[in-house]
Amino acid sequence: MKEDEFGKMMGELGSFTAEPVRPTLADDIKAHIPSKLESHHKGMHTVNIIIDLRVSRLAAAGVVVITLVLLAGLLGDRNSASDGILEDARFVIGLLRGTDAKNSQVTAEKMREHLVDKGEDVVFYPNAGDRQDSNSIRMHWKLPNGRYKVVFSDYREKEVSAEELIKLLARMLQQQK
Amino acid sequence: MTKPTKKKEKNAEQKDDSAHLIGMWRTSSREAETLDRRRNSLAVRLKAGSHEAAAELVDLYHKQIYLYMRRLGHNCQGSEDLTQETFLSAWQHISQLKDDRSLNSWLYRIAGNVSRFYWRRHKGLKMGSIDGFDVPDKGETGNEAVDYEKFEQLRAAVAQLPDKLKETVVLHYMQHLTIVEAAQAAGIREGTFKSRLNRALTILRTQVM
Repeated sequence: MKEDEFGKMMGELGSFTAEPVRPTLADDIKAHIPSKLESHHKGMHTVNIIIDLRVSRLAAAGVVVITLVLLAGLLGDRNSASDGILEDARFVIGLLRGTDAKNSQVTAEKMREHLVDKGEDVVFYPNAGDRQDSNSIRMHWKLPNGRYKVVFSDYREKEVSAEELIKLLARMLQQQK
Repeated sequence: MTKPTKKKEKNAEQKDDSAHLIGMWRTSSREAETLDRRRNSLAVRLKAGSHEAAAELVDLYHKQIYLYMRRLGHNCQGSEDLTQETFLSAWQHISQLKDDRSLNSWLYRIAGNVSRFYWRRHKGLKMGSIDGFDVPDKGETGNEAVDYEKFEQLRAAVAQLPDKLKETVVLHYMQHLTIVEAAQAAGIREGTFKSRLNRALTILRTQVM
């Protein structure tokens, strides 16, 4: 066979391998058009990537939680092999589930315990406002450079001077009154 | 010492030969512009959640995707199911289409992934060949120059190509995608696609010529 003939045959390969398509196929497909075209939501991309890899939704959620727990263990200098893993998992799930006061309190206490374990002299305010109250101070401790690290109820962190800390505490107390 | 040089020269000649085969279905610029505009508009409307656009996408592409599945070796029923799965996936992931102009290759890429997932799920199944197609009679095409026996040989040779090489031949020669579109559809660089296509053509030449 000559090269020209080969080229021609390659060119006609498409038409020779074409076949009639069932006439009702398009209608069958159209019948499955979902009511909402776009199923992906913001914030669900990580889970969706795993789902795209054909893993079940539950397994995907599990992978995300385990990853977060392991990361928290690594960054927080915790012993991942201990029973703490279960507690940490509950803690992460609690964080993901919502912002109710009980969860918020558990989170704050966990944080305080962790800091105390690290040897920080933490001043903790258990009756501080809920997470919506951004001015309310949850805890603070002194840093080696003489300044103070403040953690607010919404878990925002700020490094302040002694004077600024007094002002913040005064403002919080005024608000509580 | 001369043998490898000759072999190299022969390969280079073959590459040059296949250059005229690559990109032979370039549509005229006006047609391409109209098609591009239609695809852009379709992609924009799909992203806006238009059901009419979803139906239009089916009208425009269902035959192509069905034949793509058939050419990748799926049987008739399987190809219909996978075509439907391709559209479902496209509707659900339309927000992930970054460039509206690449709707064509994006859809083919989804179809390719759907097909791959199918083969992965059904590892025991033997991949069908494209020789299950009905060959038109000589008189139907009116093209007497075509040697049907050799064409059968060519089809069988394409069916026996390794998956990656077969995909390039199917996308470019059978689905008539341009090199750029076909490379995007296969999810590889243009150079890699051309290289695979050349390898595929070399194999086909040795088997058919």
